[in-house]
Amino acid sequence: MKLTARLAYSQITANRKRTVWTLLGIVLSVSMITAVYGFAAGGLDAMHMLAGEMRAEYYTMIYIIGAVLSAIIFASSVIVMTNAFRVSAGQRMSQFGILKSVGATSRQISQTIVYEGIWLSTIGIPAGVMVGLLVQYIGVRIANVFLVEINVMESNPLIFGFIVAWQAILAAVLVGFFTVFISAWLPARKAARLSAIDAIRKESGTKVKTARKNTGRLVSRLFGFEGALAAKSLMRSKRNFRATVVSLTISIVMFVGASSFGTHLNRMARLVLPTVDADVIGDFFSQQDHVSVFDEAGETVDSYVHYLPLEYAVAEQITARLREFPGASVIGVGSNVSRTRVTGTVLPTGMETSALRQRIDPENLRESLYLSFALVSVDALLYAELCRRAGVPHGSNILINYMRWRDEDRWVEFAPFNFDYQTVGVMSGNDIIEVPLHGELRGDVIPGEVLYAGRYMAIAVVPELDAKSYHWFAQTDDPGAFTSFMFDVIFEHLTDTRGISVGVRMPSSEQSRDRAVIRLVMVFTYGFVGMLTLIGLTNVISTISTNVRSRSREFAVLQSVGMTHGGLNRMLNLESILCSFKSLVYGIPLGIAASYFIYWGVIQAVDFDYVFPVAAILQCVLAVFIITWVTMRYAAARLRGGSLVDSIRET
Amino acid sequence: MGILKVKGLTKTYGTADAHVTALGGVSFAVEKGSFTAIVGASGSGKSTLLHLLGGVDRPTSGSVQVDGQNIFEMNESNLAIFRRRNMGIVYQFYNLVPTLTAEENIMLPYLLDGRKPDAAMLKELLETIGLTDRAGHLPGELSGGQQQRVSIARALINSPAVILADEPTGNLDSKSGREVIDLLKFANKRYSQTLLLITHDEKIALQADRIITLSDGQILRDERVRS
Repeated sequence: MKLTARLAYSQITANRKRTVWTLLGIVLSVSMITAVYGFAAGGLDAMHMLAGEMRAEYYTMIYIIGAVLSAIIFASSVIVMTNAFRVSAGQRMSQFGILKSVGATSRQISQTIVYEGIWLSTIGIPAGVMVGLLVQYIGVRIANVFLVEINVMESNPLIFGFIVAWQAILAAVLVGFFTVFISAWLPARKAARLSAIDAIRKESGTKVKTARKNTGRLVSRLFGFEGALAAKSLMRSKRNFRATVVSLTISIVMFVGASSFGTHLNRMARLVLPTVDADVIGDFFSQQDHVSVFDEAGETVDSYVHYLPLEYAVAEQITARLREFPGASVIGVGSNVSRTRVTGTVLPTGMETSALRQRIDPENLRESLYLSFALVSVDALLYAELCRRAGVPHGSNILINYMRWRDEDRWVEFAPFNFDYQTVGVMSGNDIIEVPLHGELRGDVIPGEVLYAGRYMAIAVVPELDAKSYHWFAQTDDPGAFTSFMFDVIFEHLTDTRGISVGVRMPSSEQSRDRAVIRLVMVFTYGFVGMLTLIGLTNVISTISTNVRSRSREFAVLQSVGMTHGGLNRMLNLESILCSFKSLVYGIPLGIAASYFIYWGVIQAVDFDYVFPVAAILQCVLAVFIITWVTMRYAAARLRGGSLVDSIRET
Repeated sequence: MGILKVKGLTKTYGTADAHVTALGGVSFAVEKGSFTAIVGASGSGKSTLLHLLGGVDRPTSGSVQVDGQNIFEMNESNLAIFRRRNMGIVYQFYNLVPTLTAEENIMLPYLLDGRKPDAAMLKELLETIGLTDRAGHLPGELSGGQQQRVSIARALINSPAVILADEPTGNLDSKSGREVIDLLKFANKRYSQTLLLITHDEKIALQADRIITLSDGQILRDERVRS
């Protein structure tokens, strides 16, 4: 073996701890690229099987989203690896200094680095690929568990494939190798610039910015002197914390981006394939009954349509009874619209948005807008939930401000109304019902069942309506038994069945197929978000514990001059708060940007409003503070196990 | 009266069948205000002894009493408080906190104790170590000798019962080394500080009142140089 190769080998074996950590970093990053892309390939493949060839816009969408997510994933993996090297950079520089002092040329030093990179890569990268495939396999197995339920009813079962995405593996290998190489090379370049003896002295050198005065009196008051110490160390030694802040930031961006991807993808699937998630659907329609009024001569003087509606109380009884079936969940939705008649309503002036205006037939839009309008009443449980979502008290009328539209071959979703507590006069049969609107619901908080029951132009949810048509949507493990149970229950509760039609059915194969696609999309996005979250988590934990580990000496010195464990904890508390805060300040805007880019990708194929990732951001804020705090405290507690003397001596 | 009493101090490393005795039952007492040098070849147990005296390490057996208190009977947190109030440790490699200025490093034990720093004392110390005009500098901006003087000032700020110095000149050129020793001696006289100094420099050792020579974890000689 060449001397430089042997030197590199000896460095790897001599610094076993450092080698293990570095290898872990490599394995982690290579495996995440392998696993995520493999999983994505499996999902796309399943989607292909279901949907057949997709249109070009969908591919544009996939490429854009793929590029955004890839940028985040690659950045994150590069950070994990460079960070693994960062801890030992000082040590490395000093070793290069020693080599230099005994007469090694720069060429020999760079050869040593190349060999070290090769040694680390030959072990770390294949191990990373293996781990990645394993993680992907587990992810695929879990995804398939969720698909089993759907497959039971499918003639051609849906399978989430385990695909070895060789392109992804190749990318992981290349990224891994280059990052390892560059990370190893950076300290060497620094060492090359310094004189041999300065390089040797460089051990654990912390670069510190010039001191500034006045580090918040407030901080000292809140967190004691140890808090002020933390603030100072964060302000003056940015480099030490940069890795932590960067990795937290990347994880925030990753989480917000991935959740947003999930939200938008689910939204898109729902827009393209609006389905209700039901195994059995029961329908009630009151027959229209033409009533004619004759005069004495037998001539028709008047005729009107008469309905026998399903009273709200009866509908509630049926729903309650259906829910008694073991393991079944039931939603009841009724409307004032009979099977055939759609009612028209003149809307208050200016209620329509420009999005609606440009799509409506000008015939219906002269002075004000004439629109079909349905009143929908849902079961008490769902109604309470809708009131909660709309933020209105019980008894309110809620405008469903949602419309699904097909513009040529693009599906579009938009809010059709400017909601302003208007009162709408809804035609119902021969009457006009004044419906004051108290609140509105938009976008994906609207249950598919409500949209299904009112497949008309506009919907308002009102309480306790006697329905001309009513639907029960049931999820059950035993659709066969439930079907006959439902039939019996409905008829038990109907005293007068004249002029009424009742049907109980299972969704058509087309519907259940759509449902399967929606489920698949959900399983896929949750799996994807879960995987990315896991990666972000590992990333953050590894960076923070690395940070704490690399400061063992600093902590030991502080303790030797009399800092108590409590004091050390106070210092770490503030450090974690500051780190979290800083990374949230960077991460949230970047995350929003990423989520917007993803949205932009999605609207290449379909059209709907951007969903601001509020929930993801809130989850992030909470998670970042908790994870940072727990990891720092845990790492510091581990450190405390060791002896102070060893830490002080350690260079 | 001995301010520091050491009884049967033993420290072994490793397992029962393969252990190394770093310190094998050392006993001695140190008078208040005295200057004791501990010498010995490398591996003789000097640093282990000093770390035990400073309460940064725990012995296998034996006791250390400072001002009548057995420091190993204290829990970790009390020991930390004890260290900042009663012990001043000076290391060979200064061990200053790199993110704090010279002044802040000096005040560290005081601040950790949650007390208002004594401005007069700080001013005097800065003058004594000759760094008044560099008080706002970070350790990285100071020379080795200056850093060591800061670490001595840090050890002195709380007027501790005992100052322990572990080869404080080991990493310095001879001029800076002399200045550091002079500073320690000055503190010993001026503030009647009890001083325990580890060195393997004969010349430095001879400036002490008493020299304890360690060899293989045992006291080989204990001689008074002056009385």
